[in-house]
Amino acid sequence: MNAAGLTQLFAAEWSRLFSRRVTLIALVLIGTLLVLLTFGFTLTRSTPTATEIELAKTNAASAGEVWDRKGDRCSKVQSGLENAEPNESFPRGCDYGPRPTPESLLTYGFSFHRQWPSLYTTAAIVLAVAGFVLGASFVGVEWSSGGMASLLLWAPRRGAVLGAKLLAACAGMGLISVVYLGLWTAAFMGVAAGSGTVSQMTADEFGSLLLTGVRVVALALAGTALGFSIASLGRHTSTALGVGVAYLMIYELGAVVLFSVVETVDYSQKYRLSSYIAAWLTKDFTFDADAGPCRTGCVPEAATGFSGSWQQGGLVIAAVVAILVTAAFVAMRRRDAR
Amino acid sequence: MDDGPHGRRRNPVLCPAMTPALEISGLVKTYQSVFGKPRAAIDRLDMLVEPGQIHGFLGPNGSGKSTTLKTLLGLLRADGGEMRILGEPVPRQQARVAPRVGAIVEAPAFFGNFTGYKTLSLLAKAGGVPKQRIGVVLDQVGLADRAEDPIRSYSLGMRQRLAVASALLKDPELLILDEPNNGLDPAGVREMRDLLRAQADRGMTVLISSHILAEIQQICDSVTIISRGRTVAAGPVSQVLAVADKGAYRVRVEDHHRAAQILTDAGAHVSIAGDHLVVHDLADPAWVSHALGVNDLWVRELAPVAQLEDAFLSLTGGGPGRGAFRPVDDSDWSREEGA
Repeated sequence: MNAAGLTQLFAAEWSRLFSRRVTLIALVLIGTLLVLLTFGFTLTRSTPTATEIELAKTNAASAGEVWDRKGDRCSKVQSGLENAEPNESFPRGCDYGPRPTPESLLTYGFSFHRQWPSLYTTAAIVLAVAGFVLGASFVGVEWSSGGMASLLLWAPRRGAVLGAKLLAACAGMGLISVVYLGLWTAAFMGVAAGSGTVSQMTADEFGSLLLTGVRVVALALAGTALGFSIASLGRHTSTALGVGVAYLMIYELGAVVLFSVVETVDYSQKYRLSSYIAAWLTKDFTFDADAGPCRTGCVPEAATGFSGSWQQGGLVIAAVVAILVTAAFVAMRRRDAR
Repeated sequence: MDDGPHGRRRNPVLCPAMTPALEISGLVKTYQSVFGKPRAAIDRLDMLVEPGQIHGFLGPNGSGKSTTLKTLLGLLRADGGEMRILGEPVPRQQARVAPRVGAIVEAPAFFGNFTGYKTLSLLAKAGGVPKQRIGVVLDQVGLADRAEDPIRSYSLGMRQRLAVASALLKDPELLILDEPNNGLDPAGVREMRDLLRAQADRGMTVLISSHILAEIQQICDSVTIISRGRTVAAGPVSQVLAVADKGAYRVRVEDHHRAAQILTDAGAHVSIAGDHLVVHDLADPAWVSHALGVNDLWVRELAPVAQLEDAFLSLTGGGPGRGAFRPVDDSDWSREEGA
């Protein structure tokens, strides 16, 4: 099939995607969620008073001193300048978390600076799930209704047909994600400007926000490709939804429940996709099995190996997507289109 | 001569049938099963359709009609045999031949919230067909007035006509229709017949799979009858009827009870069927006229009673193949029958 043929197929699929009821319902649902969250934050969050800000500054100054002392002590022990006392423990890599700031202590007021990471994580989950469902439905209903067979009568090159569908689903979801994330950001910045604070957002912070946004969109695309591939392999939307729910309920939640019952370190974290998604989004995910504090008298180690870097998280997600997409294309080429 | 949008129309008069529109030779299709044994759906099936004809494709339920069509159209992979569409070997040249073939296989699938026009426009966009064709085919199948209505409001017959419109959209040289009369009322059946005849008159070859045998007999130039995945009869309709004709003739006279007695006394095998007689195993129908004429009984009608339905039932054993209501038969029946 030549480039013109592929373009025609893509154009038809793009048009089909945005004509489908499922797509329109998904847009309404995630739009409604944004409106409700924005409205909720507007109602429940308030701007702190001058007294509260002063108190937070005082508390942050004293907490900051403690944070500095701990970090200094840990670094000295780690570098061998000082010895650890009995019963003294240190976190791996002397990681005591972010230094306390007045804003971090004003937890009841809405701060865009403090809360955008969690808001973006929420958006990522919403968009990834929406992408999974849209991608699964887009190809699944074609298989189950016989629409795929009809389409193959027009365009017998199966790889091109499935590729055009996948491309249209991903491009569509990419567009939806970019627009939605833009609205999401603008809405919460509006909330912060109106009844909270948007201060302390430096150029670096905005750069980080932008990169996180890119990763959120990429995760939505991965969700779309996963849903699409599983539904194409099972030739039904419900296959993807069933596999997705079963994975979450049995594997992800099941492992959490199991390890909490036996009261040990959750060794399954390294084998759960959610860990790598968290690493991809937050950049600082650390496995429980690797994060035990250095106990009595030992020298704290610097973080080594996998420490939840977004690159490694991205690699694992990309590998899972690549395997399933490849399987879907191989099945498309080899199996009968009944 | 209408050249159609692709300018491919062949004039059957100027270029008399050279390359068959469709050739199937020794087609084999076996469904594999993970847990059960493989099941043969098509077993060395042959079919030939000449260009410009309307060809009927008949067979009982489970005989392999839809499997044959799906394999021919590249939806299923053949396990053996050769197929050619418009002279091109398929599935090797399926992509090349696809723009020249319009088809509907089994029940057409549409999204209920899409309009008829939207449905066809998506197909036209995917196939690079000019938008003007949409209005033409909607008009041809009588759906122009309902083009902007959602398909969920269409009747079964209207959906069927929309499916035919989608097959006509490419202005194909070969039109393959699986049960095109499903859901159509008598007027719709007649419209469909006129539509297909008009397409054939323009040079289009039409292959129809159907269970409405009278309709096939009325519209088709030739037929292929299959049973249990194999061709059991093929050729012009008259030829297939002749094969099934056992020498039975319908005889109408004024006093058919007396006529029956005269013919029986003369040694004929006669049965009374309502208001007429059926004379069986008749070598020369003129003998009936003579035998009744000398007894002052004048024949009003003397005609062979063989219909396609008779031929169909006698050739296919009168019912579905083994594994009725299943798409395939057991793989070992052909061996059992020494095939």
